[in-house]
Amino acid sequence: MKFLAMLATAFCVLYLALVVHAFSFPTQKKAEELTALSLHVKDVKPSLSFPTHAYQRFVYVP
Amino acid sequence: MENRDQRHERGGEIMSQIVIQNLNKLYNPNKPNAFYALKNINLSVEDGQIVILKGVSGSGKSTLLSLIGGLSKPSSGEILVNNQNIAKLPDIMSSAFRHQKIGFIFQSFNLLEGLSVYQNILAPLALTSLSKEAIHEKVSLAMQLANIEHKKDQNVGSLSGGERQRCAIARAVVMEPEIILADEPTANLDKENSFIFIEILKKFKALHKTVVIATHDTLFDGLECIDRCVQMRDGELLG
Amino acid sequence: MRTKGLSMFRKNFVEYAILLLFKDRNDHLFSFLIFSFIVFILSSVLFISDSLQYDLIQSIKAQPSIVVENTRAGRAYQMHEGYVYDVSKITGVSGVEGVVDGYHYFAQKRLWFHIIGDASLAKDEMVIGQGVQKAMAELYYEDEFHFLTEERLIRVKINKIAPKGTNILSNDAIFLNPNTARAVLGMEIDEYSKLYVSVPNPNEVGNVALKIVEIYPSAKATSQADAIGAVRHVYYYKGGIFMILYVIALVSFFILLKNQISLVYGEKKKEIAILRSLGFCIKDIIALKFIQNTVVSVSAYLLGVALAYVYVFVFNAPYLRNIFLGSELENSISLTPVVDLNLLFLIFLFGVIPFLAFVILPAWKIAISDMSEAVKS
Repeated sequence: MKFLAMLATAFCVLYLALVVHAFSFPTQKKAEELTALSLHVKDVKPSLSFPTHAYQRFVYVP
Repeated sequence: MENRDQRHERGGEIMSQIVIQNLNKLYNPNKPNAFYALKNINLSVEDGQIVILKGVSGSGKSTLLSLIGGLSKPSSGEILVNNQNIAKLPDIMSSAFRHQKIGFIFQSFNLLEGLSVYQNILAPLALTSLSKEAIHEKVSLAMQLANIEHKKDQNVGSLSGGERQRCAIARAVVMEPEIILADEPTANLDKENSFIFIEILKKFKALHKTVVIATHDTLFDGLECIDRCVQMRDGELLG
Repeated sequence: MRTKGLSMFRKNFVEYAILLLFKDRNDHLFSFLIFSFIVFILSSVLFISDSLQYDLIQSIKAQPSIVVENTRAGRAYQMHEGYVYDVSKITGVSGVEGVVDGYHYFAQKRLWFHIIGDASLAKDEMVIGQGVQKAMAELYYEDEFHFLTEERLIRVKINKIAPKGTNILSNDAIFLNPNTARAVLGMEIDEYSKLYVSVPNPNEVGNVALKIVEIYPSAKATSQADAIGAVRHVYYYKGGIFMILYVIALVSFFILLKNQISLVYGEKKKEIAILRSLGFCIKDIIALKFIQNTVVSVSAYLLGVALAYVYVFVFNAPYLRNIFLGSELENSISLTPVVDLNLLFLIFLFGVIPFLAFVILPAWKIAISDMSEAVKS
């Protein structure tokens, strides 16, 4: 049981750190920056840098 | 560990603990290679007796022990242990019976490799609700009886044949079962360790345990602690 | 007292199950590592794609009702002022805005930069994305940049770098005043790359788009709904990289399942027989295997997800993000932590359940068989 308790504690600490990280990320600020930019660039496309179109089609809808 | 006198004081009767009636075991039924490992066995073993089942390899001794211990089911017949027909028990009850009443000692010891002596002896106690202290006490008593306490933290893989046997004995007695079933216990032991086993057998006698030993070792011939010797051949009891 | 006894029994049993788990730690470790890897890969790709999609969805708020692009011989071609006039005359259209948009080839690094006209910028102002800035800086273009066109060299000062948070859109972008952009792209003063058409009544959008294409058959008119839909379904889940991913996950999973089955047969068959001889019933054997493999699978799953989170959102998915964003231009995007719990739960369900089943079923099969032969061998 000691092993299970230690395992559970370790995961709790790990996930707590991840939650703290997620909440500390400046999501709102980033969203505002993107929205501000998109007001200038209304028809947005993701900024991709594939060498050829063939590579791009590997991931994205053609 | 409770002995015969203590049981008398409790008012317990001394009677046949194991009663086997018209027992048959057929392997591979309805197949061309079907054969009877046991034929019409009738046997009774009294409380506190030490009984030897003698016979060559293939005479059915091990099969009989398996059936008494509930490891397999007979094709027909009855096996009464303390007046309970164990042949018809469902798995949960048959396992509980084996857990509380039977201690097995196997020819090949059947220890859990990779674990220590202590951890092997602990196995049956995993099914109990005893406290850690109570468990430790039981394991210690069992190790003392088998004289293996000095090796308690050693991995069973590094033990000698005799030590492995003693570890298996300690595991078999840790739940203080009434019945000990030993299948060729000295087959893989040298003379010295075989004599050590005989000494432990005498301790079982003193503790009034019912012991059934399947063996063809002549070392058991004429021993004072042995109550009865039953001959077997081709799945049948002789005489 | 009975409850206390029951919990003590469970405690003793669980402790022994863990003891047996450590006894075979190498085998279980293998399963643990493979399963963690599978979960890690699936979760990482899930996190990256969800995060990028989340950012893209933030940026479609100002999407125009209709975007008109012209083509010639199947390639993008500019439009002149006449297009603006003709489209603005269509019933239902409240306004038409022409924009300049194109690509400039930076020959020295063999890269394409996305040129975007931004009317809010003055003639000699330029805002560049971080990827562009890095590429330019490598050739010592730090304060100004020289655009080399067919006709001339255009010098423009680098005023500002787009914020890192906008890298998903701006990494390869150079924002210029529209006239400067025209000069760089070799367009005439009254030419446009795209038209943004405003249609106040959403029900009219389809009709207007049809009318535009009627007037200009070679033009493409993309409605707002189509554009938003394209962002929502930006990943091609049936092909390419995702297919490779599924194959990797599937192959790893079969290796895992094979290991799981072998964990029960062979030596372990004898172990089950020994435990049965000591009084473990079939239910106990199954419970034992269940406890052991739940510990392994659940902790492997949790570790896989946690590692994926750290890899994607703390380290910004090096190497893997290049599959989504391309590697020609370095993109130091910071991925927004987006966690789709539904999909993670699905990965759990389709991972852990078969994992457990592939151990418990063989263990049950062995436990119900005749033990007497197994204990003799």
